[in-house]
Amino acid sequence: MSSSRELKRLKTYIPGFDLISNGGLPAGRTTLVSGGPGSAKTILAGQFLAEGIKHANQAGCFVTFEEKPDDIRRNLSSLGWEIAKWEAEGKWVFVDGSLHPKDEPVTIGDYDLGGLMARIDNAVRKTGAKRVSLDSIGAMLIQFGRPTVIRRELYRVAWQLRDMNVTSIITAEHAGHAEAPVEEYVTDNVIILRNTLEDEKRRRTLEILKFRGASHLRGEFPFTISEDSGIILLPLSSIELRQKSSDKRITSGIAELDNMCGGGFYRDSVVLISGATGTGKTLTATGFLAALGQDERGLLFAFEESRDQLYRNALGWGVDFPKLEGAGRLRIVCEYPEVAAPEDHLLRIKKHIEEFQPTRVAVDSLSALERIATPRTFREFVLALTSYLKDKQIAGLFTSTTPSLLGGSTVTEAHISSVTDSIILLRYVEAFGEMRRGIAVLKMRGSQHDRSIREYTIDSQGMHVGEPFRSISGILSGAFTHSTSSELQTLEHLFDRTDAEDA
Amino acid sequence: MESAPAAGGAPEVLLRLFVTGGSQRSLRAIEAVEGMCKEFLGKAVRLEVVDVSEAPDQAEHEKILATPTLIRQVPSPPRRLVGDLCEPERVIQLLGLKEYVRPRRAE
Repeated sequence: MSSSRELKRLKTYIPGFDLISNGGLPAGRTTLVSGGPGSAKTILAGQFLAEGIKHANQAGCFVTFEEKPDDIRRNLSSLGWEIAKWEAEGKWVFVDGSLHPKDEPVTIGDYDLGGLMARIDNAVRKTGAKRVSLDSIGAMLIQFGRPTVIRRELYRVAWQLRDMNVTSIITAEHAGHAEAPVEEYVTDNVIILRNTLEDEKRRRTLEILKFRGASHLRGEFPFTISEDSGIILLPLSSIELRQKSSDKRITSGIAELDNMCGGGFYRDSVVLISGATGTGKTLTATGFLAALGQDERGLLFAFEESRDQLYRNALGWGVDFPKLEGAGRLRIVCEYPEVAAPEDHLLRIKKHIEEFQPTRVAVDSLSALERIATPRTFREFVLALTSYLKDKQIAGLFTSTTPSLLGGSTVTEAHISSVTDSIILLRYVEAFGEMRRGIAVLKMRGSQHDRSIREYTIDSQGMHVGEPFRSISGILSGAFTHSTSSELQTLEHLFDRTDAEDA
Repeated sequence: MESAPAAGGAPEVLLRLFVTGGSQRSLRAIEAVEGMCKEFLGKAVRLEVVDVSEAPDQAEHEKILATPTLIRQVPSPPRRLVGDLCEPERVIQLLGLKEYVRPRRAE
């Protein structure tokens, strides 16, 4: 894994951080955490200590320059950290570097931070602290008003912390997109926290800018602040492709579709069902959940329809959702996409999965969540959810609504088609003045599948898949040509779908 | 470690100087403040020098960040100065000690 020349790491136990940092913070070193106002610097500084106490029984020392220890104790306790109790147990100690405004010192001549260093040293000795957080440099600069002195002194503080063999975090204000503050040159390790407004949505990210002599993942990683545990990083792209894959098949709930897929879905695969409104996506999801095997449990996240509506629909196809729920085999979660950010939805979904331990999960529809996310966030969301399901060996079925009735693809598909194992298309087909429906298996990872587009019908028993459309081509593009049309025309229309639709 | 001791009883003025070990800045500050006391201030002023590396608890109690820090502890309310304090007249003025300056000083 890591070479012997790599720095030793201190596992932070901040969820997700140790993954993106390839094992934690450089042990015995100082890391600068730089971020704008409201970027959760203080939470990170506090969480670094709290997780150490909770998971590794490592005492921590919190040096505060801005807020009073009382305020920090109160604010951070709302995240479920029992700071007062830890203080009583000698696991958490404050060094109060905050000043009353009226105490503001007048300076004459040169000075150093000897008092601060002696106090930190004292606190670390008394508690045996392994972790130290200093929050924040900005407040120090304001107190003393001499940036050059403070920077020189912080450099010395960092060295002293290193001598004390503690791993530390120093937070600093970083105004917007301005060039890196001087502090960043002072420490070997720099983390940037961002809290930006992107397409009218708040987005929090953490980026490891540099770890000298230590590897880490690059780029910004979104995080969320959970009410009961603090910062949770969603290291999305890093967890792809490490899943074990199963060759056990399960039924989709529709026998003909199983045949088209070469014998059903894989147990740990994620399937995307794409179709326009009314093509039977919710029906496919319903069938998928109704086909639960003996020891299976299903979980449905509905982002478009109410519980009553779902019950009614399912009953119309002969599926009794309330009965399944009553038997503890099904859980339905109905939510408006707008109630939370994608990161928070992901957390909620995970929470339900942890609680209910389902073997099948359906999301109807994924495209509803696209409304509340930027393309990048959405892709990350889907990646994270997919990885999570596969890791848990859960069969997933996502539906995606195409905006146009005929043909077409959505941003959803463009973003996630490479992530899902199988893609099934439900399409309207116009044939000789009649609207019919066609189903196709576009992709089936690791298996042969039926390559034809088959007609299907929907009645009170559900979905019935029939024969392939033989005489019509251009179904997927929505620009239909019948067998009499020339190949050339088909090709032409493949690339001007919109025009063809308008025509 | 004190100069200009007031014989018993509470001094009229108590100054406490927090320094770090034997650093240049600290030595300069001790020299400057002791000199200031000798030259300008009378016996009413008592000076205590505290080395934060030997008495960190005291530094903690006074919430000292920078050294040297000079605190006028008595009379209250306390006043603080930070730096090597090499301008005695400003120190006296900023700590409000003018009334304790010895009268023999030439105007």
